[in-house]
Amino acid sequence: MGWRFHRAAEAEGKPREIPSKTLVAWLLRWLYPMKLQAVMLVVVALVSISVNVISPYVSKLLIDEGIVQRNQDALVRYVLILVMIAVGGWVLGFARGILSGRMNQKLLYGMRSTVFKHMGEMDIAHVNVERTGKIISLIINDINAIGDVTTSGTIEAIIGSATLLGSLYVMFTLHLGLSLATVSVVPLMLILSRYFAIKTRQAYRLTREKLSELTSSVEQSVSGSRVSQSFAERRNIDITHFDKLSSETMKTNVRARLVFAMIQPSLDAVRTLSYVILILYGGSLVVSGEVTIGVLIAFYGYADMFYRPIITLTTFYSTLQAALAAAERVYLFLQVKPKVFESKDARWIEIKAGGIELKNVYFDYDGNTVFQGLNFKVEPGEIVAVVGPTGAGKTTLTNLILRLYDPKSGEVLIDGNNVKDFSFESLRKQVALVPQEPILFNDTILENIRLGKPGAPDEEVEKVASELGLDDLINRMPQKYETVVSPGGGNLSLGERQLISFARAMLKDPRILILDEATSSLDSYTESLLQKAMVRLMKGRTCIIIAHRLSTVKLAHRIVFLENGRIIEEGTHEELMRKEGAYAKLYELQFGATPEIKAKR
Amino acid sequence: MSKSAKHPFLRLLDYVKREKTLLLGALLTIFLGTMVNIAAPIIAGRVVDITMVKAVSELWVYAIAIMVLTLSAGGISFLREYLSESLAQRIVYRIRLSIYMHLQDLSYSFYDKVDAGQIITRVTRDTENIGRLLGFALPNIIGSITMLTVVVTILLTTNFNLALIALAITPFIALVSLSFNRFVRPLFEKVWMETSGMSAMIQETVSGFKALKTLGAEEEMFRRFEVKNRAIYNMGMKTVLIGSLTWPSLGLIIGIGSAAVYWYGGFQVIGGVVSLGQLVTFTMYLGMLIWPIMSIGFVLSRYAEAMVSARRIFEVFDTEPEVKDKPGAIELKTVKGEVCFRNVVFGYEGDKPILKGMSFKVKPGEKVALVGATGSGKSTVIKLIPRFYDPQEGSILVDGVDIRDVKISSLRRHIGIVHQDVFIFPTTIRENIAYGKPNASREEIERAAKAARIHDFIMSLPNGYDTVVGERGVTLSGGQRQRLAIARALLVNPSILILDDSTSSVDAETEKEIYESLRELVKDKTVFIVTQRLSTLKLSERILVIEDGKVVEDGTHEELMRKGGVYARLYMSQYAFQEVSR
Repeated sequence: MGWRFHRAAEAEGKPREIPSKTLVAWLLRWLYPMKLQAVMLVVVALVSISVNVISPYVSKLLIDEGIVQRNQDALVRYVLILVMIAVGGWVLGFARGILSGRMNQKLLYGMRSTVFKHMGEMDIAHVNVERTGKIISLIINDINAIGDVTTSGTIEAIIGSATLLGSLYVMFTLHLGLSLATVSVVPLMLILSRYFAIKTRQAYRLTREKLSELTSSVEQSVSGSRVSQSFAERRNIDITHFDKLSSETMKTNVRARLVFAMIQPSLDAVRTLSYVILILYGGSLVVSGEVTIGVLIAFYGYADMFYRPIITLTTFYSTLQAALAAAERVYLFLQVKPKVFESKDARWIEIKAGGIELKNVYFDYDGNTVFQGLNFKVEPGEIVAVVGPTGAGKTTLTNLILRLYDPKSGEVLIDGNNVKDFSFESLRKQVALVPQEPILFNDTILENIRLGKPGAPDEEVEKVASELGLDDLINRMPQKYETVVSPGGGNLSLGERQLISFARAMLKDPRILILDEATSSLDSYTESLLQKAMVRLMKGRTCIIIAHRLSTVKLAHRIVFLENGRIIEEGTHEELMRKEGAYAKLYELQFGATPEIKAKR
Repeated sequence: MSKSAKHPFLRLLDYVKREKTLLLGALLTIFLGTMVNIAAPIIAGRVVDITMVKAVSELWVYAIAIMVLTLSAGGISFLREYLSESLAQRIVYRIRLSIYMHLQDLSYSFYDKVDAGQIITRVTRDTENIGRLLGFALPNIIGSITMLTVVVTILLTTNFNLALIALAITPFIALVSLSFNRFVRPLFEKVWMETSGMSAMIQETVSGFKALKTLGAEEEMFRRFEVKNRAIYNMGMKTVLIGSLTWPSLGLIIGIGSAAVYWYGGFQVIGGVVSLGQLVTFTMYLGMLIWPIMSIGFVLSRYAEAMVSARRIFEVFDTEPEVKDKPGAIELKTVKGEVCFRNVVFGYEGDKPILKGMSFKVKPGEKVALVGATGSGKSTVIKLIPRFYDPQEGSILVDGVDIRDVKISSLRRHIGIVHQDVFIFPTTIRENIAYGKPNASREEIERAAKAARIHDFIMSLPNGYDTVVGERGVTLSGGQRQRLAIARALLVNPSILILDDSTSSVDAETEKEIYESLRELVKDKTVFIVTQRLSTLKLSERILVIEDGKVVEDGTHEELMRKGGVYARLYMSQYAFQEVSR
């Protein structure tokens, strides 16, 4: 079923060009809430720029008035001014660092929260196919890459532009011809900048992609270590594969650095070209007496002031491109809107009776049809077992009730209310699912159970666990309830994990309980214990049990046999056995050859 | 975990030493670059002098000289970047590869304890940090030191007294840099911890996504994420504070330093001791002193960060695999399939034994079922056969040879194991089945798939065997995944086949078919089946009942039923209950 999603995701994963404008606008929106700080930061930065500009001028005064004119008072005065400038620079620098650092940290914090929250809201189908490594890299690497550039980069851009315009203005007032000569190489510089911008972005995109591939590969080999160690031949194959990936990562990194390394020398060369023009043209002007040597020396200074921001901005632009490549991934991730979402007027609906009805439900997984007009009804307090071969749609049925997916057409009703009218919280707090594959988190057993009802007191958690017969299990664990479940649940058997996941569901005290082969890995002894508890626990609740094991099925008031998305038989165990249809055949398969049972029957 | 006494930086240098050519090339370009930089102000000064004496004809020479200088500086810097990045990346590559290979050799017990997020960060981010140190920071510091040495020499020879005043600031700069290093380093360590905790958490959230959704626990998970996120934010803010204090302080020291030079130098010029020109040259070179010292401070923080990473990486290297080939281990060429446990005592945590003196002997070709309550140690028994763990006491023999005396790879080559938790790789079905034997022919793969009763399902997919299955196989049903795993184990044609509750999610009919087709395939193989479903027990010839880490009953189904012991009780409990509920 799910392979279709995977293909869709692969198609989406291909490099897609989001215009830089869109991304920059998106990033600026992140800064908007911090606009006051941003304004303060710009003010601080502009003041410190002015201080920087004053400093050489003070040195010039110090030399001209103090040293050349042998005025010791002036010398001491200007030295003191220099000291004051240094102290002022310290204050401004501190303010600038704190302001931009704070903005940066806030931005990173906010982005991480948003991405994680967004992931929580996404469709289960989408998160299933997203590679874990990719999401990790998104939250940790990509967001970090964006942060610094967005805050300090924006400030840098504003200050650079101010300096550039200022020096341009002064130059044109001094001498038109020399100004034109100075700026003559600007077009060449812009062409080069543009070229490098594109190249760097491509190169950095590649390095990030390679890193993400590498991350996935390590993730896979760590998670699959048990399998790979079981196959002796695998070691060399995996190492060769990783070697290839790792050496590709190395090459893309070197290549990206090469592109980056070309920027500064190329721009320096262009700038020097403008100096050469100044030396030759300006020099001849000085010789012919058209301008003074002072003007020419001033022009050297201003040319420097003019080109420095251009170069900084260009290098910044390239770093920005790297950040934009990361921003694009975050942006795209946030753009994916869940297909199943809480409607605006969804509300908390108390499930009182607990009746379930599927009315004329059509459903497919991207064209792979599961239900074509399924009608299915469970009365309040009824226990219904759903049986049938793999692929009949049993799990899909439960997915629809919990609204993990929406039907293509038809309705899913609980107590006559469409599940779409329920807030997610109200639906999932009152309907519990014990899945086939119990998922435990790297936390204590107590916390794992408590996840069913965050904030429940310890006593309540322990009471529920104890009612389900978990005491044996808990007492076996080294720290009892405080035993930490290792990542992936390695220190517990599948059966033990199923028990814990069962307790977690029961802690919700749900009106509707869905068991999706929840006890498949329990040994028959534990299962029978659990079943005795279940008989008690299921009283007064509506239950849907999906099971392969007929012993569990027998707890049900009614059995529904599902095949190819259709109900083909329905009734009590005895009725269905008498009918000698699909159910009876299944039953024979499981117990047919057992003499004791036959005798009893 | 044994800790190597050698400092992580020295261990990194061992990797650097292996790239002698690149290293020499990088160093050479660094020195050349410094020389070119020192020459630049001299030429610039000459140009001003020439313009002042109006010797226009000479301008051409200097214009060309400047152009040549710029181009060669550019060329050298490009070359330096290329060489140092190549050096860094090669080292990163080598470290990554060796850490990966080491990970492959680490035992089960390592993976039981460790969390995937941490390992991933070590292989990707930590190695990158080291790359940045070696590729950016190290060339930088070498260049800076060269520059400092040359400039300081020039200053001292030009005017010794003035130079002493100028250099008086260096201890202060060093002090600021060092205290920065001292405060920031522990912070980086903490940030690292929290960050890898965060990746582990994201990983958990993704793999447990359905569970979280159905529990309605997204809020709870988000709350926990926020705790980590907030912690990272707070530490980030501390780093910001330290950084904001450090860099301006360096600026302050340098500002005061140059004021002092102007003050002392100014009086010297007034007193006629030095010329104005000398003072100007002096301050120009003083300007060249600033960046190298600043960059040393910068490198120190990079160094701190990279050392944290290096320690983490070497920590993995220093973890010895608990299960490893002993010297002189022999190759196990063929295996008939006899398995013998002799008084085996084992626990995952040393003082908590799960198996408490387990003994049994299984003849070649026997089909044995292991039965027992949850937690009795069934799954543990079979994990010891391929030597995923070593017992604390007793021994395990295959064909009469202690498995600790043979090469692990040769032992495992003869064992096929289907784990309780099926792991499906996010790749095609074909590659998943052929996982243990990648060069398997199409026929072999299909035969294994048919035996595992998954072939028809695969063929119903539009891309058949080339269908890609989602990460961790979540998009396949539990039964389909188990069947895929069975096919995977069958393909390598093992002498000993272990099925650890491998058909729990398969429906009864399919399960029966699987066992029927297996019966033919595994006729001469030893088979261990751990199962909860008593109906499957009948396929095995012999049943071992395990209770509290020991074999308590041993025999055929009929024998054990007649005996009326633990097994009979266990067997009947399933059915007896039906009577109760009816």
